[in-house]
Amino acid sequence: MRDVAIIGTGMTKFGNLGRVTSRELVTSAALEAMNDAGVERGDIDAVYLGELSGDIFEHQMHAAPGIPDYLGLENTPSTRVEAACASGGLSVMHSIMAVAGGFYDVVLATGAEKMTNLPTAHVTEALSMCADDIYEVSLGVTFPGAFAMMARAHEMEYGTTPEMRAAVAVKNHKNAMDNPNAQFHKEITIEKVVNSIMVADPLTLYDCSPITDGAAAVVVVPWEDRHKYEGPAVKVRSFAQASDTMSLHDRPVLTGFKTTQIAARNAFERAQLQPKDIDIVEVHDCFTIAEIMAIEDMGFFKKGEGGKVTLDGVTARDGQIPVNVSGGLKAKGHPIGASGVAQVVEITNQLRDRAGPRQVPDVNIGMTQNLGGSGSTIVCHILERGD
Amino acid sequence: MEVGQPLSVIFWREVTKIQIEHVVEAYEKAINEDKIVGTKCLECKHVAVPPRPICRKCGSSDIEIVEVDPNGELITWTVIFVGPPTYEDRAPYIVGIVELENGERLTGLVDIPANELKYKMKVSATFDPEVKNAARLIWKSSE
Repeated sequence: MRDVAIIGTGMTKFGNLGRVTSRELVTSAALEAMNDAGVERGDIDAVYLGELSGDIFEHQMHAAPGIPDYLGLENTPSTRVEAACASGGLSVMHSIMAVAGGFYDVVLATGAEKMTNLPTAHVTEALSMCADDIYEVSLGVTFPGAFAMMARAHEMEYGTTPEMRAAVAVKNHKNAMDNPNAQFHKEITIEKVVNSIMVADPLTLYDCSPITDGAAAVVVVPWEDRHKYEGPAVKVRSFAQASDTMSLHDRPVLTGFKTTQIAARNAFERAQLQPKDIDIVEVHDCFTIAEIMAIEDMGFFKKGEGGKVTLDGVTARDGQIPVNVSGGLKAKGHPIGASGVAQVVEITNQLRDRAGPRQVPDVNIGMTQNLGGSGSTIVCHILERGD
Repeated sequence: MEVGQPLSVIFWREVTKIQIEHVVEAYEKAINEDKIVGTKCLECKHVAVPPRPICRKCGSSDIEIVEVDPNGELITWTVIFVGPPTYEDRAPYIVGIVELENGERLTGLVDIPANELKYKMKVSATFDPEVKNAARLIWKSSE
């Protein structure tokens, strides 16, 4: 097994991008990543694409070959990875595995989604298909609904208040102000979140991440080859993935994700690191409660304290451990298949001191947590500043 | 069939295999008759609801379909205001997770006014006559 480096990043603007296809968006993000890395088109050995559903959003299955097609990389192997909202994280993970295993030397890990083609009710339906179709979706369970049931369980068990959840949204909207690619550049208040319309009680509209178009890409190469290219390298210290039941009701604990606990623990063990060694984190805040559960389950805070520490500013950009400095899914936007890749883009750029106005000083080790379904898939990556 | 092999063994394997491939069908057939079923592991006796092809406790695939007590306690719920197209007309509607008497859990629609919902309230399963299969499950108060 070879050590692996990430040497280039790219992403499109996130938001409602109008008449554009996901393969055009990926082409744009991929070119940016390739230019950043200093790799030529002929260097690319393989392409991975994380995408939930070109099928439903764009009436396009078999989306992967569209990427080398538009990049002018005809005949380059391409693979679509689908794991609900963790599709992007797994695209990166499989790219790393392919390079680590010695099968390829330069891999483009990409992710995209073009969601705004459909009205909200149809997007809700498409996303709900990531839950258990027979035992949940047929009974009207939506994703806001599933996370609302967890938010209620967390509220009953630990006293996590609507204001604590709202603090996640307020922080991430504030962070997004300094991210030019973010969907929202608008600060919000706790009152606004708590008093906005209810989507799935107790989660309001501002507890939920938006419907977004966008793409992101990174270039993955062997660590030993990093100096062959222009882009400053970040080292992949570890990754880990875990699965859980399709149905939420089949899990004994509803106040967090065993999958996050397992994936984070395995990632820490493989990297020989502990939560206290992490300087910056991007977690999967598809809903405010998801960020609270993630920072607890990853081991940064005790179970039940995630809401309180967020309200106290511990996870702010200038806090003890900055969480979702990019704006997170909540304010940067959540183009499903792109989100896991965009997390790696953010951490990579932070570790290369290339995060512009939102650069966090003195960061050496960063981590990502990308979630699919109601936590049925989790993938974590730990990255370290290069030499 | 090989000559000399005990008939009962072959028969049993075939029955088990059929059950593994049809646990969803068994659930749907039962709920269409106003019953909830699970799978009982014949090795460790654990009962899983909804039915599962392999026992989660011991890994055995020696299972049988058994009817379970349709009463339980509501452990979490949500009032959904934005539903998918199939449920748009019903919004707002309530879904919840119920822990059955045997400790297993099931998601269902909840037909109880939102302001009366409380943690661990007693509920029992009822069945929507207008629809088929798993979507029939509606929890009503039994307090």
